[in-house]
Amino acid sequence: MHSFSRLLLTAIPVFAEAKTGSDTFYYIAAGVLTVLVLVGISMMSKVETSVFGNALGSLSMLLAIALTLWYFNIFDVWLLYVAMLVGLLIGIIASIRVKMIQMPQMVGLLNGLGGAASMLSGILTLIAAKPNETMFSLVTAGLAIFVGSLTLTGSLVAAGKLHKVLPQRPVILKNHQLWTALSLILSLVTVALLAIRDVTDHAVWKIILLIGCSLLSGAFGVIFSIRVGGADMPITISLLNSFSGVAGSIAGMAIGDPLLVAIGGVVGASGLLLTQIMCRAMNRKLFDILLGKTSVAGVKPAKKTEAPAVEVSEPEVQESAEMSPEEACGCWLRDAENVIIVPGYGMALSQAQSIVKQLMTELEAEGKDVKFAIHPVAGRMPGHMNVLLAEVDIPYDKLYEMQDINDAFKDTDVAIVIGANDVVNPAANTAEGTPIYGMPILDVEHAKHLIICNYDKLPGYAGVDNPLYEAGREDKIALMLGDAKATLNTIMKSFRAAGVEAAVTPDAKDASTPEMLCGSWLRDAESVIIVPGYGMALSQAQSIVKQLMTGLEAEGKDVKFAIHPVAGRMPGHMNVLLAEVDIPYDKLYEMQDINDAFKDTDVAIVIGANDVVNPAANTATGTPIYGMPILDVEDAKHLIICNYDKLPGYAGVDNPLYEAGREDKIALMLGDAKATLGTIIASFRAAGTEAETPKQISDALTPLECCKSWLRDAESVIIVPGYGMALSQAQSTVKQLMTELEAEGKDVKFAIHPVAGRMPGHMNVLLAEVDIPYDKLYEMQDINDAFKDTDVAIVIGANDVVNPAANTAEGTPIYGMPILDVEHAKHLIICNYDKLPGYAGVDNPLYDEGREDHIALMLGDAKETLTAILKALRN
Amino acid sequence: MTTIQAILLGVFVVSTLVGYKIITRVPSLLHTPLMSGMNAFSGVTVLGCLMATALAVHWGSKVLGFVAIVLAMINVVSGFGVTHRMLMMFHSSSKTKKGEDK
Repeated sequence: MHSFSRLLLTAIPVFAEAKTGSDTFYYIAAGVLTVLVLVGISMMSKVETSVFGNALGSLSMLLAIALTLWYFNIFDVWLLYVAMLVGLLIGIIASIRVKMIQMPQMVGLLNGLGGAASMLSGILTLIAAKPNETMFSLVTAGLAIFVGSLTLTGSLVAAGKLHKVLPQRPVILKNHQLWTALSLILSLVTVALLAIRDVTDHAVWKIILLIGCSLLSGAFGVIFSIRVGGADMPITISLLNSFSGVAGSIAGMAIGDPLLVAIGGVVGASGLLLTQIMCRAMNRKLFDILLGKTSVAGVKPAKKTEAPAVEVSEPEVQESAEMSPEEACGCWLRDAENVIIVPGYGMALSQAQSIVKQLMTELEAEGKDVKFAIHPVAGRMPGHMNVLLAEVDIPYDKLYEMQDINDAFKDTDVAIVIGANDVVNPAANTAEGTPIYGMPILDVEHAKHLIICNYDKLPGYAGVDNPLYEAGREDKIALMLGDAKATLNTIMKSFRAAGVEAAVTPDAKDASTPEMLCGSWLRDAESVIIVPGYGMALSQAQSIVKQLMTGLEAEGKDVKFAIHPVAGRMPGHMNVLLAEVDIPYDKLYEMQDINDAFKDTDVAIVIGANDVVNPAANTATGTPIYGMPILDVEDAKHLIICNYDKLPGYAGVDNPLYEAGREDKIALMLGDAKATLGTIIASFRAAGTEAETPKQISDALTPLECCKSWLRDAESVIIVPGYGMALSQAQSTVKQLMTELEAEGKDVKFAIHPVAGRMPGHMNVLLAEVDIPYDKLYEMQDINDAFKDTDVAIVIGANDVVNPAANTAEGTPIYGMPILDVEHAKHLIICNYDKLPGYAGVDNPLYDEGREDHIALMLGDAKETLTAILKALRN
Repeated sequence: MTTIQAILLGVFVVSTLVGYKIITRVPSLLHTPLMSGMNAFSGVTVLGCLMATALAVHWGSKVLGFVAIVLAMINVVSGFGVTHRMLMMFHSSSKTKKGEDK
């Protein structure tokens, strides 16, 4: 044994001279620690022993550190302790403060740190390398840099995507494949060069190579993970986890530390196994994902097989929709502030440019901002569109080139595409292998609303179907088929009609009273500013204001508070009141910081403030408030005023906002603030349910009533949670539902699909967070047979994993993927945000109409729909 | 390739296989804690960092080493920390369950 360890010692030249501890003891101890780690990991396979297993793992890690310090006799290097202490403190704080919902990005981030450490370890080994270094050490150290660096950047990108700092959809660079290959090859070349002694003998070359290797490998990590979409994250995270282990293991080989090699190997294996499980569960091949064939790319074949079905169902959809496309165009344009027109060859063919000019003039007459976006290859020759538009005297400073305007689409209310197809086809970003793949396009899809005037729905010149033409997006996209001249005429008529309607009775159909207006405005709003005043203080309405804020934010709306310096009765009065109910102070904005934001705000809510929002301050000379700076609430698109009465405020100046005749913009809610806010919240919720279930209202039973009676009669219930539950943080509501059902003697189980959520076991963690006993959670293969004997299955925010199309729709990306057979349950309740296809882009037949007696669709935020179900059950 | 290198590669292969075998037994229920636990273990690279930093000669290497140790320690400590937090959530529910049974 002793001679064996002596052999080991002499074979590790880098640090050989440093060793002072007893070799035999060291290797025995290292072996014991490795076994301890393995025992700890195997204890992680049962809930009862897992906590101890984790503790054992951390203990062996501590012992390993002590052992290393002792063996290399570096006990007295104070620098190490400082570093470890710093890491320890940051680590403890981070692990305590992170929220459960943030776990995926936390795991990603930590992964990256491990990778970075391995990379640095490799760099240090190479810097310390002696001329007589073995090739093995040099190569492994280089590889440690490579794997470590790509783990670092890849994990950071993944964490960024999960944290929504980076776009969730796959980002694909021009010539992505080429960049991938190039960065990979170049980084491996630097690894090889680092192993050549003649090169690395020169200190300068060595440093350059080290930096080059780190940067190139890092670039590879970014390029590799940036093109993975949100739903493939479980696979990517698992794979990166594996990489971080492999990086550690290779770093261990470089410095000859068997402990590092062993533990790194175990981590690598675990990550690989998880990756395999995820791939199997998503019916994806690891190789495809490595090559960046994200599931979005598979949309195209999916569409082809389903095309006939779409054609058939489409007329129905359009008929049953509330607005025809023409009407929608009119309303959208009426409400729009800025419009971008995208002309294409179709405009040239139909010679519609003069009518385009007319449309522009009409829109501008209404104060709307109109621009033209010109794709470099629109039309049949360079600058084709520019010529045509110049022909009808459209000023050339309104024409923008693609790169100058593409970013503006997302802030645009309506984009009008006239006879352009391929140049706006989003498939160019996703449909690999098609001729337009990688082509830069105009991002018209980012506009709030989209009007498409096209001759037909056929693919354009490139022969690639345009996903913008698909059915089911009528709320965002209006398709006006036919000759551009004719359809543009229709649009203009509709625009004029909408104007008349708006002037006479705003939304006469459903929202006539101020309360209802409030509800529908808030429902449609993206950004809301609340302006509190003394009236809120008087009525002590701050907690209900908080409630309103929470309700709005739960729907994804952006809520801010605008605080006028003299609102209330003391400086900072409003801030104190709002802090009292735990409204985060970073949502409170002072006047000068927020005044400009009102014009971009959908709804401003004034609660008991009068003088500080009175526009008379700008105009009414001679009055006491003239010249006083006010909050420009009038600039917001819609304004809700909660005030006790219409009397002038403290300054005695009438407030023009209270005048009659502006009901389409301003809703006056008179009375006690607490009461009126209550009404608004109720109206907001009602508008939500209306929006969710417009079609079924006429039916005998609303979906909600169905839910109630089904659940009442049920004996067994299976709940299927998905990422939607995580997004809406609905797990505690789910728990509540479970408790309620069990109190009635019903049997409740949970079915967990292996890839539900964004990382392996995501759902289990979330459900454990709210203390749902883990023995109620069943894996797919254990519960799938049980669905047919189940009375009610409740699907919460899961889509692809329950999509029966996986069994039937050949050629789609999900075909063959194992799913949860929720359809077999007697009744099915589906809580989903909308009816759009899931990540895989395949329509879910469960959402089809005509199955109301079997399936209840509860659209909207999961928390809200579940709460609604709970309420119905209790009544 | 010398004996030691062969042995190191051997250790890698064996530990990978043994690890794979053990981890196959972990139910998907515990996959997230498993992953974050493994994550913590990947910070084992701190051992290499400690060694390399202590023996570094140039101040530049010492700085790099310092950073490496800090990052690796965050990885280890946070990893075990969040794993513990998650496991406790599973654990508490199993305990209450058992309490009811008795």
